[in-house]
Amino acid sequence: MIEADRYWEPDVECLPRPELDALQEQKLLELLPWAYERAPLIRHAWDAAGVTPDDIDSMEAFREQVPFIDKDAMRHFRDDRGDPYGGMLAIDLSTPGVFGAIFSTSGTTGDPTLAPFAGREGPTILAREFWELGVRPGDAFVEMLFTYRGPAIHWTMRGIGATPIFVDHDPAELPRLFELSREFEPTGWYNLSGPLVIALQQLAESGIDVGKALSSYRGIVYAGEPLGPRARRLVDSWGLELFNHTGVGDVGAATECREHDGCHVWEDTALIEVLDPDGDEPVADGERGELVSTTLMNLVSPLVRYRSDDLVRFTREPCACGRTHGRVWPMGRKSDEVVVDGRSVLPIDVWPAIEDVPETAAGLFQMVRPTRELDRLRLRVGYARLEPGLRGRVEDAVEAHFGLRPEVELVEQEVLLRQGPPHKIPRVVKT
Amino acid sequence: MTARAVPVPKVWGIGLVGAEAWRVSPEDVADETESAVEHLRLLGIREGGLVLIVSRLAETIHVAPLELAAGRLDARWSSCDATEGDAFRTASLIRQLRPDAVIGITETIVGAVTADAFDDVPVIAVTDRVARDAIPTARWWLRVGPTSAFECEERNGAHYDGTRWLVEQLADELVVSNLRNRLSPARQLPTGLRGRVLDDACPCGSSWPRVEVS
Repeated sequence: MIEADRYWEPDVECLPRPELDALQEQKLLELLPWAYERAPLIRHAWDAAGVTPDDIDSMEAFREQVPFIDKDAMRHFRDDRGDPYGGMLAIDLSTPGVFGAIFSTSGTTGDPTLAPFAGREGPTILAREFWELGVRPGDAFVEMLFTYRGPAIHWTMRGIGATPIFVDHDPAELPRLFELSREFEPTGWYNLSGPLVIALQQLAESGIDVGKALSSYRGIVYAGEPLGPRARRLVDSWGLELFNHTGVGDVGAATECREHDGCHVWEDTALIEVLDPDGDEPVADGERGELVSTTLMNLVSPLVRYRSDDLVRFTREPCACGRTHGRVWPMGRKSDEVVVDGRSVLPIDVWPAIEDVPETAAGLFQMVRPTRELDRLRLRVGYARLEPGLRGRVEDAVEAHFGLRPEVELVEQEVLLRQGPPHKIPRVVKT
Repeated sequence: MTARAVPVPKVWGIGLVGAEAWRVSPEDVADETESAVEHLRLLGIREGGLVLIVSRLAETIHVAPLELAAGRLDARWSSCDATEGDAFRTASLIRQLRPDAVIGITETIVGAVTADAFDDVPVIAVTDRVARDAIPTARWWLRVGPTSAFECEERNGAHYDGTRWLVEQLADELVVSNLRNRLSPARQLPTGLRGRVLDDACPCGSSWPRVEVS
């Protein structure tokens, strides 16, 4: 039944590529004058570049002429002009009748950036992903988001006919989740994270049948940071199907489909470019580059050519699921990259090696990055138990996997867990 | 979006009341929003104003009516988590947004931000004794079973909507009962609060009764 009714919006999700490209261009050309007229930072950047909306009459002209913005530009605009929205608010949130709320970004790299919101209750674009999980009208759906940033998630759950169950994203709440799962038999869970996987593993080791406790779920969204292969195998062993989920340059989110081959970006809502991290040229389809995003739907805070600092792989090749929208694989942040002997290294590059060592299998580690260029890769690795020769075995594993021998500092994994918000730990630190 | 026609779920959401899973209907949330509008007015939220709500996800059935009420007042709202890891956000958004009221401050938040973080906030509502003692002007935000009670500027007990809820003192605990239809009925539901009910007139002018917690 789920397979036969797989798409929430089949006409859009499976739109042939030429029509999707045309739709993007049409939406883009409609949005640009709005953004230029109303968002002060966009106007500032375009004026500095000598560009006006009249100059942009095609996707080609957009790619050739429209200037970039980034988070630093927003922060400077905020600080220089006293504009808390960093020049990106394009409507008056005090307008009577507007449901005005102000959310904020994660704050991973500084003060959270304000994300103004105006809308009305109803399902968001996430409905497509929630439907793909296998959640259907009448089902219960666990909302265990690691941070509460407004009602859009539970609006969307109700929008597909499901009832949200609100649970705190806290390992201590897992027993309650088990009770709620037994009582209401939810079919979806948004979302699981690395620390919760560790806590579930500890419960499993204490004798609890995690698979049985969570047997009602058809799909579980995983988010927060990359999912290592060992963690995925562990969750698979409980009979649970995980769907990786990632943000898309502050203009949306992307989630895997049942093919688990990249996260679908809804290209009718966002224009994605993947460029050379150190330049402006596009990289080849599927190659690692910096994600540059432009919204095609957000009239409140219309980001245009936003250099996200996120390194991704992205392909527009059609997916085996039948959807035509592109797929993204998050790799890490550009500002997290270290260069050792001329080689670029991101946390994701060494993750599998650390997971392969039994004592560090939780994948809790940090890259120490005092500067971008380093003579030697430095890793701080959390262990569950300290066995003789562990440091050498971790260094061997990383060298065998990646070809660089790191300098490893071992710490108890609890030390690292305490450093993070509930859903992740800082993966790159200065000291 | 080309919306599918799917039936609206009869249960709006399932949250927590005390340690119990609590189901609320769309009608319950709409009715609680009527109360929440008055609560926000009591806190000084007006058209064009801004309230920052600090809460946990499991408290959504208490928080959603406040969010909707802000919209009804043509005010804006923002949100942070009442967790140690997100406390920096509360401090940052106070600094960036200069809200008219911050509600939901807890011991955890007070312990994680600098002492002067709340100095310029006109109205602060707290949910536990440690936070109340730490912030001299703090008012109570009490979760009284499935509903909320807020103190006015008199700080002499938290007002609850007496047209929709009945709060009584049973032994040494406050219990609550619904006076309007609710999906999950409360019949002298223990609230976990110790204190008394005050029915005398409040100088603030509100006709709603108050609970004073001990």
